[in-house]
Amino acid sequence: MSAPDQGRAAVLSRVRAALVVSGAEGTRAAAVEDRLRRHPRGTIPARALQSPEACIELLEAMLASQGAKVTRATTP
Amino acid sequence: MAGASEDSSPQTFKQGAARALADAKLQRALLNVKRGFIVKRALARSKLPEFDRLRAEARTIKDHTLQHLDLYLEAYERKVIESGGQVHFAPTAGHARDIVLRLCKGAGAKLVTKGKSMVSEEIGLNAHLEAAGIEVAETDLGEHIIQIRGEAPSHIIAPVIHLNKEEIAEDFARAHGGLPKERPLGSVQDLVAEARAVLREKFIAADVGITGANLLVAETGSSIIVTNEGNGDLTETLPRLHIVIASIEKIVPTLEDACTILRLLARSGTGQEITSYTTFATGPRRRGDPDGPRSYHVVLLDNGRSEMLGGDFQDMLRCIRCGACLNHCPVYGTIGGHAYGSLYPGPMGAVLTPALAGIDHARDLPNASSFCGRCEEVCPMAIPLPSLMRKWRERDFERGDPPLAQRFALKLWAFAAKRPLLYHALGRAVAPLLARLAGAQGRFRSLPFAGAWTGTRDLPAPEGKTFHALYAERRRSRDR
Amino acid sequence: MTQAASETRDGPLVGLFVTCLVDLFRPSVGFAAIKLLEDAGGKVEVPASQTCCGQPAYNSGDRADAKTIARQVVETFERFDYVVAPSGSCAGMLKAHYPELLADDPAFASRACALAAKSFELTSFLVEVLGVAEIESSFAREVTYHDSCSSLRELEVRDAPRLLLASIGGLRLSEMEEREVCCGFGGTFSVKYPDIANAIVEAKVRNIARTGATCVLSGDLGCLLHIAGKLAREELAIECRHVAEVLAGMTEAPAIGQARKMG
Repeated sequence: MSAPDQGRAAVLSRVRAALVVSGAEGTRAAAVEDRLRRHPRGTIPARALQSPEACIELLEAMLASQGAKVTRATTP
Repeated sequence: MAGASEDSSPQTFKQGAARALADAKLQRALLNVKRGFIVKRALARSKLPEFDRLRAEARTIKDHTLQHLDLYLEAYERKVIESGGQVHFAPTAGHARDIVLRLCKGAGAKLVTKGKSMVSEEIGLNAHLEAAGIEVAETDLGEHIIQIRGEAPSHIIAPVIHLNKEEIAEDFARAHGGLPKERPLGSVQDLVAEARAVLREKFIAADVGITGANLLVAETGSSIIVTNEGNGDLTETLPRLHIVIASIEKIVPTLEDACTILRLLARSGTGQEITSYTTFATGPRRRGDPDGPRSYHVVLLDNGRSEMLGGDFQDMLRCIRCGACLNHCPVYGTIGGHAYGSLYPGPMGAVLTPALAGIDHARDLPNASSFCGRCEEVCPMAIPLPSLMRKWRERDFERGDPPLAQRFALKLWAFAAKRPLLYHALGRAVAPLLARLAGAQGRFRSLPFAGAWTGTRDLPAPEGKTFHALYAERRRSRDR
Repeated sequence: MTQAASETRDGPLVGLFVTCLVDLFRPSVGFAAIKLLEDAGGKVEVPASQTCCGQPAYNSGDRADAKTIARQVVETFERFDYVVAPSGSCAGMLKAHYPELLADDPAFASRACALAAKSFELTSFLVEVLGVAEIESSFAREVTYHDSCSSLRELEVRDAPRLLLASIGGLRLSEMEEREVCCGFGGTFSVKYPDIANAIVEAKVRNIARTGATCVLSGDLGCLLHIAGKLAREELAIECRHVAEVLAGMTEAPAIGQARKMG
């Protein structure tokens, strides 16, 4: 085994030993695959749960508070 | 493990603390800074109604990831390779140093720029590269300052919190060669402008850029860093080789998971809703990209983390290095970071340092706590820090290591406390004796065997009789 | 305590957990607690076989002795409807730590949980269980209140003492800055790391002095001994008393660590 492969094997086997798993368990693999595939959404911020217009006003206010000059364009 | 400096380590904690308490400049710096962070964090939290919910979610994400860490490491590795990068696993600090040096030599590196990385300091990377003739330039302003001072950071997110701007101006005057001696260095703006100019040369000339990672994302193979200076971006993007060095518990499953944690990180540490720069790096430059490194390598460090996994200290692996616990700790707030003699000070350091360096070498750290619990209260990852410190005390006690006098006193006390009759008899003897000794003053300015207390504080005397003695007396006279 | 009160009242049976510091240093706090509990309708007993909650052993890492003492406490107090301590730190030990401490002892695990459920710090017991909203007493002073870390963070006791103090005639409460910051006592911490503990209590004393209060109250005697010791060393004329003394109207005795008549 090359040195890099040894390092990899060492770390992964230590992690598996600590968790008392073989790494081949189907349920664990399924859980990981599921989370990566579904990537469940986190909590939406309360202040985003307003009307779109209110959100835009909030964004403008926050930009202004950081010193930005904000201009609204009426047409693209 | 790399300590604070050559002459300080966790074993010199008491001396370090004494020095810190006597250092008026440090005390002033600590006063300003901790108040700022504490007030700002409270404000940030009050403006985020979902803070507690995010905290619970973040904890669940990390616990789930740790339970499946082997699989997430493999998934992450696959994605990094897919995006054109490479992953190296380093079981120990020595392995990690060698891998990074090999990569730098392979790139013909003469100059390396670095974003702030606690892990790189943990493994003593800079000294290793410099010994091989490679120049290392820290680009985070705080890290740059401690590099020119030859010091260790005193805080995990604000390395020079212990300094004032006059001290920094002196350091710049001394270390930034080739600049006019009379140049203005009086204001923060002057200092920042000079640092920018000095560092800009390094950014552009660097062959290799090394950063840490606040988070590694398994879903995309990305590394994420947060900075307020943008130095991380320049470190990652300009050189032809970007090396990420991160410990294995930095992995989270998805970008959503990363964002949940990011929403807590800056708010908890500095009170910012988000840092000025939050940078995602995924692999080297792709065909058609105008810039970016040609190669992207990730070094994943174990160095004791796998030993914490599945054991009593697993919860500590949830730590996202925000610094909130340091900011709110009354002990850190009076002695600062250097006194701990460890790269990781404060409450999180009190738990992590013994795990990495061994409890024999870091005994004072988990012991120097009043268990006030503020750290646990503000930790965004709900880490039960006082309980973990207590576990270290238990391990220490089981090995028979605390000082003999302390163990003896404790054993005597416990012997009595388990025997009510004896305990009460002793109390009945001692309380009136002490009351009499104190006399009309009602307190002791000094007392044999109590010098640790009476050295700096008076000790109030007992009222006279014990409660149990008085209660029994009153019952007897009532029943008569 | 009047005989009539104990005979005619059919209130809950309360075991008073005196605490080792009250027993040794300031018994008057224990008697004040009894008065408050009885006035509010409780039947109070004080088991003679109690010594300590075991915290010194627990926090020093001596889990074995902590468990032995915990078992003793469970056995002594489990027959009561409630266990009340004039201390957030000791009540916190029973409520927040005993269940975990005895979790792997099959003979005691559920008994520890049962005890935890009925263990209370004094002021929160008066307000939340006995429904006391006001107390007829007076203490015409400017006071400030120190919340112990255990009360705040293990038991979430914040409002109860303030509610009761608000009803005390003539009492004016001035809250100190950094109210929720530790006083530096931390049990053995105060003597194992005395210089750090001293620095922490110095900051606390500065905050107390800035309120202009002439008296500091708290629900924890450990904190009070530490704060009083520092106030005295700095020669600041600010009294320290346990909140129970003021609520029970028992304030003739000298304050903590203050001069008194011998005899």
